[in-house]
Amino acid sequence: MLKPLNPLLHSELRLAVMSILLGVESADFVYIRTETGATAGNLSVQLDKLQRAGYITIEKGFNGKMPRTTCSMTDLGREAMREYVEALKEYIGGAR
Amino acid sequence: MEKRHLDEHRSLEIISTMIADTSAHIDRTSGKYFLLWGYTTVIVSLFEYFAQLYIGNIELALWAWFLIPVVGGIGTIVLNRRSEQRPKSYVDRSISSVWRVLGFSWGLMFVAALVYGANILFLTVVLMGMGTVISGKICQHKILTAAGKAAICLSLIFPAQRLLLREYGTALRDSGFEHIEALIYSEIVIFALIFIVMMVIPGHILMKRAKEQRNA
Repeated sequence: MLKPLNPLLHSELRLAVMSILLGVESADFVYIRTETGATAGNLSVQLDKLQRAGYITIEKGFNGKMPRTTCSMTDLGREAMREYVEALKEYIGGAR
Repeated sequence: MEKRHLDEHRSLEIISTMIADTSAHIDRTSGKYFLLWGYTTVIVSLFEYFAQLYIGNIELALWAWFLIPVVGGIGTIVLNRRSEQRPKSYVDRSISSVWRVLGFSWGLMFVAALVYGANILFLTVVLMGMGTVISGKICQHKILTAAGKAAICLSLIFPAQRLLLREYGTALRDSGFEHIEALIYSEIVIFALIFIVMMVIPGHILMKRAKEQRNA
C-alpha cells in the first residue's frame, strides 16, 4: 500500500518554496518570488499555509527603510519534506 | 510558477531544480568575492612591481599596497548589500566567518611583519591559501581546495628566491648582470601569479559552474 502524498506539499509552488528552503538557513521573500516566478499575492497565500502547518517560520523586519520578509524551514518542515520524498520514491519505484 | 499536473516525476523535478538553482546562486556569489579580491590583488601587485622598478620613490609606491584592502573592503561591502536578498546558508555563513577571522589575523601579521621584517607576501599567500582550502572543504569545491593547496605549496618560492639571491646575488651583480633589481622585485610578480591560481581561476570556474547549473 503506497503512502499518500502530503497534500500540503503536493502543490507546485509550495513544493518549490520548501525545496528552496531545504538547502538554506533562510531565504528572502523577493528571492523566493523570483526563483519560483510566482506573483506576490499567490506566494503570500502559500507561505501563510506553510506557516500555519508549522513547516516554515516567517520573520518580518526592515532592511534600512525597506520592509523585508524572511522565511526559514522548521524541523517539522524538514521531517515533512523527508517523508514526502520517501513517499515519492515509493511511487516511482512502484511505477517501474 | 507554471501550473500543470503535478505527478511524482514533476515533483522530483521541482525539488532538484530548486535545490540546484539555490546552490548555483551561492556558487555565483562566492565566485564574485574570489574575483573581486583576486583581480584587485593582481592589478595592484603588477602596478607595485612596475612602480618599484621604474619610479624612484619606493615609499610612495609601497602605499599602493593599501589599495588591496581598501578596494577589496569597499567591493565586499557593495557585494554584501547587493546580495542581501540571496538565501543565507550555513555554508556561506561559515565561510564568511573564516574569512573575517583570516582578515583580522592578516592585519596582525602585517603589523608583526613590519616590526620583525618578515616577508609579508609569503605570509599573505599562506594565510589566504589556508582560507581558500577551508572554503573549498566547507562548500565541497575540489577546485577551491586544490587551488588553496597549490598556493600554499607555491609560497615556498618566496623563501627559495630570497635564499638564492642571498647566495648568488652578489656574484650575479659582479658578473655584470644588469637586471638584479628586476629579479629582486620579481617576487611581486610571483605573488600576482599565485593569486591568479588561487582566486582568479577558481572564481571564474565557480561563476561558470553556477551559470551551467542554472541553464541545465
